[in-house]
Amino acid sequence: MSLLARISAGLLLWAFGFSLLYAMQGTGCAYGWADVALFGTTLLRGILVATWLVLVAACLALLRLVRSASSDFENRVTLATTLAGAGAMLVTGSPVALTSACA
Amino acid sequence: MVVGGCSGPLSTLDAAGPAAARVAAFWWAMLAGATALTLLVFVLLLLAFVRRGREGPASPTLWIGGLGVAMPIVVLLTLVGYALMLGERIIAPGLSGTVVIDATGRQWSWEFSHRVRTETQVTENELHMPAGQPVVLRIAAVDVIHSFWVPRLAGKMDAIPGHVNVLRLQAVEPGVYEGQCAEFCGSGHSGHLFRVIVHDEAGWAAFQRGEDR
Amino acid sequence: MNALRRHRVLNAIWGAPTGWRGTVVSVNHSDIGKRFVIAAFVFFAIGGVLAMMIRAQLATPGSAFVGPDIYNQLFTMHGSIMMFLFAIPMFEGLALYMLPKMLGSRDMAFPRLSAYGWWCYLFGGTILIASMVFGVAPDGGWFMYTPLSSKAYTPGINADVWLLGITFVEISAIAAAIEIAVSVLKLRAPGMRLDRMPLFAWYLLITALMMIVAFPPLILGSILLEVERAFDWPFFDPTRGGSPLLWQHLFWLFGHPEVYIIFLPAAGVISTVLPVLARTRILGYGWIVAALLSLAFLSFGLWVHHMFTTGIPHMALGFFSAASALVALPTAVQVFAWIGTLWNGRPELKLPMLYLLGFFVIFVIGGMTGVMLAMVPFDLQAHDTHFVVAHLHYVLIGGFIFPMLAGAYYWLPHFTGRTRDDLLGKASFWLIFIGFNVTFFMMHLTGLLGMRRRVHTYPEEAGWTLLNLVSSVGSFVMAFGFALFAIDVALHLYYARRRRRNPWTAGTLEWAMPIPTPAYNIASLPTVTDREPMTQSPALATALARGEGYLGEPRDGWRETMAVETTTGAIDHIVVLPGNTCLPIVTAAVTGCFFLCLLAGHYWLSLLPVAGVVALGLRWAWVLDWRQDLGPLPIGRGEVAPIHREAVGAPGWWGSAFLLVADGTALASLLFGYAFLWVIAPNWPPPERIEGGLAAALVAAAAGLAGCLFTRRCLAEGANGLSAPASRMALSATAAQLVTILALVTLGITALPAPQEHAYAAGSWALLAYALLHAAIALLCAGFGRIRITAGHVSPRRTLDLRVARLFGDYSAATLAIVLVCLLAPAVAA
Repeated sequence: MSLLARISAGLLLWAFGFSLLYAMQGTGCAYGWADVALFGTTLLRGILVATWLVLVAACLALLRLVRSASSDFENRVTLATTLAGAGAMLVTGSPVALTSACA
Repeated sequence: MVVGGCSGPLSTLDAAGPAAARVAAFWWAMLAGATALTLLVFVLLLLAFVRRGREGPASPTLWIGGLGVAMPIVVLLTLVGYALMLGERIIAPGLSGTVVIDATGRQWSWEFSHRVRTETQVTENELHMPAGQPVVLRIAAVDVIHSFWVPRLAGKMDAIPGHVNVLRLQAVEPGVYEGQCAEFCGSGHSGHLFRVIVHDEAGWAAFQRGEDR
Repeated sequence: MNALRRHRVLNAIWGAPTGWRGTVVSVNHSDIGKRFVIAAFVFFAIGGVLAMMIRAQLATPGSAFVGPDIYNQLFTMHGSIMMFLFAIPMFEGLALYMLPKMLGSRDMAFPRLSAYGWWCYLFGGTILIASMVFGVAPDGGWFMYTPLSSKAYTPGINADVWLLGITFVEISAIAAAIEIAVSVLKLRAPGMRLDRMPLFAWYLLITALMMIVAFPPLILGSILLEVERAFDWPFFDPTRGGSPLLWQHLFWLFGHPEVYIIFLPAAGVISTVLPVLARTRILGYGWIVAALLSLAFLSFGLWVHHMFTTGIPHMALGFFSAASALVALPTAVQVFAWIGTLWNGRPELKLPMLYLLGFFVIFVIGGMTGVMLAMVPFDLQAHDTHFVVAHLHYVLIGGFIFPMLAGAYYWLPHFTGRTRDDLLGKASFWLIFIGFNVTFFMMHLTGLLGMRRRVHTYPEEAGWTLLNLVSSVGSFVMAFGFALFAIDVALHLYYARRRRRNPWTAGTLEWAMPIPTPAYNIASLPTVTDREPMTQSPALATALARGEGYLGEPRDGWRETMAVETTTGAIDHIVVLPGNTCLPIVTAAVTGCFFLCLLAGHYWLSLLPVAGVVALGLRWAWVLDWRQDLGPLPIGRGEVAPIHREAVGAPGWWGSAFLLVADGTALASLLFGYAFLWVIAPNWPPPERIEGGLAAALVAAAAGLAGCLFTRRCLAEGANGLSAPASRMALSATAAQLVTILALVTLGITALPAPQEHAYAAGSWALLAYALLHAAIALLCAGFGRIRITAGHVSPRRTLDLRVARLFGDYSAATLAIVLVCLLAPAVAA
């Protein structure tokens, strides 16, 4: 079972991060964080971009943690899925920097 | 077939507004790319049968890493990047335009409330707007979910009870454009249609004064 | 014991009586699998006839073939039948039939559960089809958007038939998913490590895990909508704090993963059949597994792409658009792995390969249009038009039907022990392939020209006339092709020539058995050291028939198979499976009575079948007679292993754990809905909030915690052989859960506003009901544990009853805490 946990870890983190960004966007727009100015941008944008970058970093950090694999197969699959999680976090989270938050 | 076959009163490819025109151009570009990629796959398949395992084992890196990951990533990131940019221009720009129209969908008609200065002109199944400038539509519904769609001008926007959705609409030339409800709303859905009358300056001024047009 | 005698003894143990009595009591996976496949095909034919009627209506503008009311039933039922009564049960049937054989096992993990799932599917499907006959079929679209499907706009029972009928069938899906997951993880031939499993098993494992997480949101949504319709709890009514968007989120949270759940098993068939027909091994086994996992997770992040036009902000749309584009990557990895395999091998153009080529052509086109639809600006034009109809049929027919047809021709010789020539099969392939493309390719253009979905007619002036006529003609060609396929299969079953085993020289274990397979599958279990055991040892079949593997000596008339350690495939324990019983059909019938009572509006009466199901459920567990310690038993080859009753990771425990994962997903969906309504729905804040209730909540929390701790203590005592203290603990746990239930009811009645008042109240009562239900389940488990201890079924070695009770006790306490926090928070915040 620990094999299944290791090969899913990166993707689980992505799922968590994706849900977090979506929830923050919805909540932030509803509670007016987009109307609060912060360093030339809005509070909502700042929080979202910061969270996104932290999540991407966490996904990449996971690459080190999942090294302790016992077989070639496990190694390959773990590396692939952890990279997939990190890549997905980067790309699917990028709208926080590229799009309008509440329109 | 291409040009002639693509025109029609409800055709998204026969654009009469800037939003529809940009989307139609995007579609043609995607079609070209998709055709090329599909042909690539077909050629590879054909060759697989023709070569009959001659030149030695296929490398996973080339097939999976190259064709399966690297090539699609480039294509997909380009597409998503362009689409997000286009989306920002169509959906999100500030609600400019002094013409604000409330569109209310119900089973099975549309009511349009044109707010112009102090007066409100209310019509049924006929939306009036001026040519050449963006109009802001506030779309709502009173019973079930409907959807406001004028294919030749722009994409659609749902009319959801309890929520108000905003759509920017702009037509290049005066004329009459067909609209239809684009969310299944019961037995009258097929006939749930409306028209958009786009006026020139004189016509729009006349409409605002309440003259019958 | 020689091979023939062994065959006779095993057949007697694993077989069912002939005639209708055997039909009713059989729990054998081959029987149940076959029934699923045949029934699914019948439902496919019904759904196909509905499609023909749709095309007949749309062939000409202004057609008077059917009016809008009938038409709405036609397309609703076409979609619902194809998605719920055909696609999922078809691959369930294939999985139930084929998995144990490919894994070198004798049966699936929960034979009675598969049988129960089968009868639920049959009865639920019958209710849906009967509704068509009586003219009250669901007519709100297969996706049943509210408010159209709410009581105000669908006053008749049409919507209730969908909500209740589909939920009834979903029980079958969740049961199958749990069973497939446990069977793939535990019930394999010794030595079959996870990376030595056939890829088909990986595909089904991942599909099953996806189902466990994807179906609960739909089940929850259906329950909420049915409760809104029946009791006026306003979850989706915007005037009282509900939102129609909540239904959409819950539905598509299920609906998007659903289509990947449908695609993956078919892709598993491709990964199995293609390498064999190319006479080589699959390219990139490990990469494919990684791609499957990525696809499974990513597919849960796509659902809002069905809602791009609902007014959600562009950033949110962007998240889902990016994810929808990314999901093409793991798909591309598989496609190019397959083509690479063909390059590696010497592919032969046999009949299954024709269907695989058909898959490539059609599915790749469907994938391209899918990526187009993932782009928001384009979707704003194409959504709800025939462009989407074209896309979905390209990916579903290309991605599911064509591979399944390839699999059908691949495995028909295994299923029947006969072969036939290809002529009729090839003719039917070409008719289906050409007919399909003529029907659906045009629809891309029809949609771009503005034709909406779900319209029963269209005007001549729109310019869609010729395209629709061509589509309709194509659909008749395709239908004829399917009819020829059915005839070909029938001829194969009854008239084809009998032939030797393994016509494809395939390497997987299902070919290491007599063909057609006897009820017991395999006379003894092999040790697996390679991904293709038959290629490694071609004489494997005879060796196993002679009893040279494990479990070759039947004992005590038991149905035995082997459970292995999940990752390494090392021998773990012997699983003794239940034999023929009528419990599944009886329980399914009583469950059906429950749904029929609800459908008829007799809500108080429906409590009777509920009690019946509870009683039957307890009986299911009770008939497992475990009054003696047996210790390790010989399994052949001089080795021993314990039986599952005396082992730690028994299938029953795993099944309960996966059930709780599904359950947890349902709670997560409910919490999501509650939060969504707070933040997004109109007409908030509610007129009344929770008032008081703190005392009752504290009592409930304490009692729930006590129940959990007593159950744990009971297990500890039981594991140490102290029956009397364990028995007392079990009784205390039961009493504690009773207190929890009473405290929760008090909380609701004294502190919560009436549920009909506002969505806040309805949501609070829904959370309360969830906690109540689970306290009741924990109570039953603890009480059952008590009776089992007293009757002598528990010993330090035999603690499975108590370990399952502990699972449910822990789960109940944890979810109770979450629910209480959510219920009390609004009082604290105010």
